[in-house]
Amino acid sequence: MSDRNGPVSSKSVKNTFQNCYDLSAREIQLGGADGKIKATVCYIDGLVSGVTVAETIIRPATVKERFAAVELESDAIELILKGGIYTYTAILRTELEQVVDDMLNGFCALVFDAAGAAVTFEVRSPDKRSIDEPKEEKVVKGSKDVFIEIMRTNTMQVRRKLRNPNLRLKQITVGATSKTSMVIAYIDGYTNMEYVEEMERRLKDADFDSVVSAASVEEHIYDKPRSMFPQMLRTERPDRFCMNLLEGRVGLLIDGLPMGYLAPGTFSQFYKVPDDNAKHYIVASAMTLLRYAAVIIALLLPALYVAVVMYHQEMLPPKLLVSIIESRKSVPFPSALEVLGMLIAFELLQEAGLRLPNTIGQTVSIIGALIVGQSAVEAKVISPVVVIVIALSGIASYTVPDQDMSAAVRVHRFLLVLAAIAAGLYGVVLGFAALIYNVCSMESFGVSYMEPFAGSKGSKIRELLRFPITKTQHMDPELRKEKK
Amino acid sequence: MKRFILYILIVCMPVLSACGDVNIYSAHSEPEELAVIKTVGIDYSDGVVEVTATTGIGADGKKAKTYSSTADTLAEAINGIQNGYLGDEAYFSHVQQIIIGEAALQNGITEVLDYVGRNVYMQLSSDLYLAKGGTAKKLMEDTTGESTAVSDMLEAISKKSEFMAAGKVFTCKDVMASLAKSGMALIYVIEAGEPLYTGGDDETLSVKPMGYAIIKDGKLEEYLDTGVTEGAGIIMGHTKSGMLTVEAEGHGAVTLKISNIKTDLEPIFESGKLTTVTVKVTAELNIEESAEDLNYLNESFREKVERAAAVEIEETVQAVLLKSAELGEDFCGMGDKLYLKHPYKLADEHDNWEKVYENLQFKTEIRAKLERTYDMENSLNYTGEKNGEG
Repeated sequence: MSDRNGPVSSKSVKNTFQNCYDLSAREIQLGGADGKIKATVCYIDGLVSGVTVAETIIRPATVKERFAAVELESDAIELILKGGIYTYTAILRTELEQVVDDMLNGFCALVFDAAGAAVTFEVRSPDKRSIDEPKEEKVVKGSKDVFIEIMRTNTMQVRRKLRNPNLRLKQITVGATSKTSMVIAYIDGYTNMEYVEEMERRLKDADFDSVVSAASVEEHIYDKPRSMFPQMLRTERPDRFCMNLLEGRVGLLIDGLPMGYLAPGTFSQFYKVPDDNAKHYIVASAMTLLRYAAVIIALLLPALYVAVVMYHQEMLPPKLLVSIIESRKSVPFPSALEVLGMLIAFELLQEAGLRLPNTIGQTVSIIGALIVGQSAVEAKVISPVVVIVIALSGIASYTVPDQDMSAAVRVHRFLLVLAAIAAGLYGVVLGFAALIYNVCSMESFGVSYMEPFAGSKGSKIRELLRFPITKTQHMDPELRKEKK
Repeated sequence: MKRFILYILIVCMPVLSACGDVNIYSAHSEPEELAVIKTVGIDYSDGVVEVTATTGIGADGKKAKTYSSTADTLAEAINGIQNGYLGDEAYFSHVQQIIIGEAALQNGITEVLDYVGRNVYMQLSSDLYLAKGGTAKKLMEDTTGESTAVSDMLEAISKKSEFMAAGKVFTCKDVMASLAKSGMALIYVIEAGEPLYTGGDDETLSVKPMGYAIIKDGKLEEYLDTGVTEGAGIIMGHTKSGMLTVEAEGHGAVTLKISNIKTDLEPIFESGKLTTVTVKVTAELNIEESAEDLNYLNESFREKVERAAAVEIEETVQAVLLKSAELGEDFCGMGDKLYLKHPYKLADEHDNWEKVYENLQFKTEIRAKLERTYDMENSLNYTGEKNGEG
């Protein structure tokens, strides 16, 4: 590994990036062929635009009239910093590490060996993914833009939606290896500064090596990284990001990740969708309640089925019990194995559908759900009632808007089924109580995770539904209030 | 660490709470191993209990299974069915009907109700029937065939219990409560009727409703025929609808549908003592069929129909009151109804209801009101003759 604390020179820059085929280093003479001062133009090809480098740096630097008379490198640097070269940024760097960091962030460096300094210019490459339509958080009525992997574009999108000078975008670089830029976003006067400071503290204290995936951020700054439940709201939509900033949350944008994080993330926030604010408030409230019902079905239905069918048949209405008995007459597997098998098959189908390209994924779903499912029922390998139970539970789990929350629900569904197999309803109640205890003891940035169900003295229960926007404030006063 | 210990304790709860010596998993049973018993028949003969249990017709149309066992006690007989048959396990949690043979009532019904109340499987919400003039086993065998089971027929009777002719089917819970309150209760009486199907080999008989039986102090006191059952349903407020055919003077037979029927008991006091009870009945009627007159807007016709219906209902109610007076028993529970309505005024009378009832006079006020005639001809502005053109 090269020494990044040495003097600034073209050689040290080349040494730092040795064996990097994308390093471009071209020696030029300021003022053209007759110029007296040599400099080296260094940049990482791809991160910066070669055309922009040629037009805005090399071309003015080689104009004879401008630099021919300059004899000292220090004078040349001074002239460049005063506008001798047509870029909107020009920063003098005297430390190699700064030069290298700038180059890695899309800057071009003009290195002066004798002066041991470099001037860096921001000439990022415009090559980036276009702002696409949302894939996870689709809406019918609402904006169709999403965050992309380029942080500057993301901050631009936030700024466009919140044209307010109090919108603060605080940059921080983390990751010893990846040197990833992150931006903490908040609105001065709206956000409780404790959350901002806490976010900054966690990012600085975290022992990041690299930030190339979402999990590497989440696991470092979550309150309870071992919990499967997401503890920060994640969105790909700038409008939802801004709405939450207005409610008093603190946002986090990470370079390279096409999403924004919001804290504190409470359980109820994961059951709201951007469409809620586009629909009539009664419809939106009804849909929200439906999603809560769906999570109960997704979590408990298979476990309750197993418990009732194996241990508590008296709870079933007579006709339903007779129907279940008839449907299970020729099934060779016990109820427990049947349900577990179907749950695993369901997860396999989902995983296969996700990993394959869209068109093939749909085919797999059709083959799996329709052909294999129907054949299994006809061959009396599984009973139709179990197919209905698992399908209903599976569909209900898809109504959970957040994928991480949905995944957590699906894993806990398995655990509750195992509890039901072991001890019937007693096991289900025990497992569910343990789950409730676990989530109720969680916090996100000091806010109870189960708020408003727990920890808010019931005062915020109306947050579960959507009330007319004309009658409610955007801002959550509880979040804004300074903590004592 | 504290949480971890708490988790461990919760998981260990089954063991710590003395459930540890029982393997919970081994207590489970697969549903396909169960034979869901829907109807239980109980007969007593020479000190021996015979229990007959039958399933309903299977979802796939399979014939109902019938099991039988005799023992010294009810519990042993039921245990004999649960353990004495190979194959499916007889499952008693879904028993919907309990039929008691007439002879069993000689021993008293208390023993049966006590067992149902104690048993963890049997439910007090099961309907209770009395097999008139025979054994429950015989009735169940006669009324269970290849494609019909006694439980299905009893279920149908129970569903129609609000209909005037059928009368309410009382559950074990109703009978227990009534016996505890007044020492008297009504039980729905059934017997095997006509063959269910005609012109075939299936000789399955139908279940025929036979009114009520009065149980006093746990034993059979008297049978009430279906005519009295109708009136009892009206006084008790169980009957909500029904069908009535009356002869309207000069207009022939008219069939009426009772869409709603309300009963109110009004106490009359003389010198502070309860002397008379007025039974007020209001029936709302719709014309279902009229053979003679289709001019429903005719005021005279309407009045005659209403009057005839009122007379018909009054006769039904009077029949119950007469029977009640004859037996000297308030089997319709009028005392409780009046007490609930006037708890302060009738506090003393309620405590000595049997004595008060013996000297009580009854009056009836019946009001029948024709609500809908379904006069299609007039509503369509039909102006021609009845069978003419227009």
